[in-house]
Amino acid sequence: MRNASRMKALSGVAAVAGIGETDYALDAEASRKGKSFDAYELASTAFRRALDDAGIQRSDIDGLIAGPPLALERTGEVLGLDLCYAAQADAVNAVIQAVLAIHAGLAECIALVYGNNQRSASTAYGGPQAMGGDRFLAYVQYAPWGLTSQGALYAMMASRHMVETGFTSADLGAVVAGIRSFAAMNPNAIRRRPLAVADYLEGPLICEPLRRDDYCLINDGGVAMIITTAQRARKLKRPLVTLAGFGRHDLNRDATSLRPRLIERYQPAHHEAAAAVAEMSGTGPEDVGAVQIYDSFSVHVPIALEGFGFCAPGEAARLVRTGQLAPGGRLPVNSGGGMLGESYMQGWNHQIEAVRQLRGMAGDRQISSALRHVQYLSDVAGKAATLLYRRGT
Amino acid sequence: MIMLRPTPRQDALERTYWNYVARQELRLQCCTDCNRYRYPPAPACPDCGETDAEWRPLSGKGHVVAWTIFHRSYFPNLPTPYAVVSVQTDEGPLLVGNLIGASPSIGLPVQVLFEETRFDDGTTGSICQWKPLAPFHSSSTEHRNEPQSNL
Repeated sequence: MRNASRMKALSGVAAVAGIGETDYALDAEASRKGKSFDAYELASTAFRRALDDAGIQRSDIDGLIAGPPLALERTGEVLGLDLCYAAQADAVNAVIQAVLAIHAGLAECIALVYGNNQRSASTAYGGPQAMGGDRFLAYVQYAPWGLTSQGALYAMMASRHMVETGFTSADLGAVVAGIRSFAAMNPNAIRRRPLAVADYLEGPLICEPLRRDDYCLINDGGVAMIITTAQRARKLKRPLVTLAGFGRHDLNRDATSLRPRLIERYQPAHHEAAAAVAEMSGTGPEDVGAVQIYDSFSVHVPIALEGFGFCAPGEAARLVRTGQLAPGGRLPVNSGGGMLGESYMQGWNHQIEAVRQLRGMAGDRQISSALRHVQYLSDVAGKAATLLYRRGT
Repeated sequence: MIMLRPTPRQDALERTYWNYVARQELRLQCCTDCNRYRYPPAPACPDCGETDAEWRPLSGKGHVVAWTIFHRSYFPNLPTPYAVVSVQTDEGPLLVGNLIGASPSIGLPVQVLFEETRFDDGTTGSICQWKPLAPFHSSSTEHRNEPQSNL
């Protein structure tokens, strides 16, 4: 059982001192012209940029968390790092583990590094060699019926969510349009052309009810973050952004039969993760000025907003129809363009955008100078997880 | 086009399920200690930890709880469009299958349909599919072109 007082002691102890990303848009252009990228090269570029951003040296790094598909040892080898702490984790768990390791005194300055050349490597997310089947049985169990792609599983989730809540295809289109409007303001976003809802609805169906524009990009890129103690980060050159809270809850019972996904819509996991982040940080959805949502598929957005308590179950359509999630709205979603518009970095690019917004360095798409909290929400395969970033203090 | 389905996972417990289906029987593993069904089959009961189980027949009836229609082809030997549904069986477990002979909708009552099929490893067998529980008349005016070879 969670121990709220022990979790509270972790709030604000760690901070993001540096961020780095590759040139998604330029690289995607080069990719179209035939250039092939190496995942470790991308990771290395992002890592050097994060060091520069933080104003520190490689020799300051004493911990490394490598994000799959990167292999841990090879990442450390390519980056030239000998370490006193190392781990492998996806975006949200990398941040959680970095905070834990710093609090426990295992390391003081941890590099979180991700690189993926999925475009160059032609990674398949559906079909006979569906990616992730070794970790999630549901991705391959139903191949005899032609069901393997992750998009199809989210399409099934969408079909039920729409009937139960009245969320429509046009609402999904408006979610995509909002995120694409943000992407249009981000020079590093790959899909910068705005999308009208009418054009969305004209787009081809892939796995009905989802259409082409409900699916995220597949591109090459790298992301890195430097996480250190808040005390040390205060002495570095960037405005302070701390990790105020996090939460995670996994639903594994009956996962392969799809019950938690289709019937429960992961809500019990969302509720627990939301309760954890609230207990740890002392803040709730009302204190959050913007959210970053894992958007491999657009339908993640209404499901996460309802699950994590940003509206009542079934009320996401109201947020969409009143424009609250789009530029200028009360709760902007994926202000960098997310994975639908900026870059498919499996949740890593969302962390960078959260930090950039809280530093007030998001350029044309800066939400508000008064922004104090940005929350990240994800629920990949029933693993609900959330991070709360806080400006200053 | 000859339809070839991806071969089921090669796992001893899975094979038991498919061997029953090849005999036109829908049976699921059920814990003999606490009567909990397990799908996909598993070596132990997640409720009581008991490893003993028997393969109990299901009524073959249920209703659709979620659906998708594949318009994009992910398998060259499976012609699109085809509908995939999740069916809540009357006994409780959720099963995935293709819906044959109707447009999918949430709540649609369905019954099992065993379809002879070929798998892409060269073997033949049956697969458990779903069709509307007769009599059923769809209110949908939209005609969906179900793969003829499924019927």
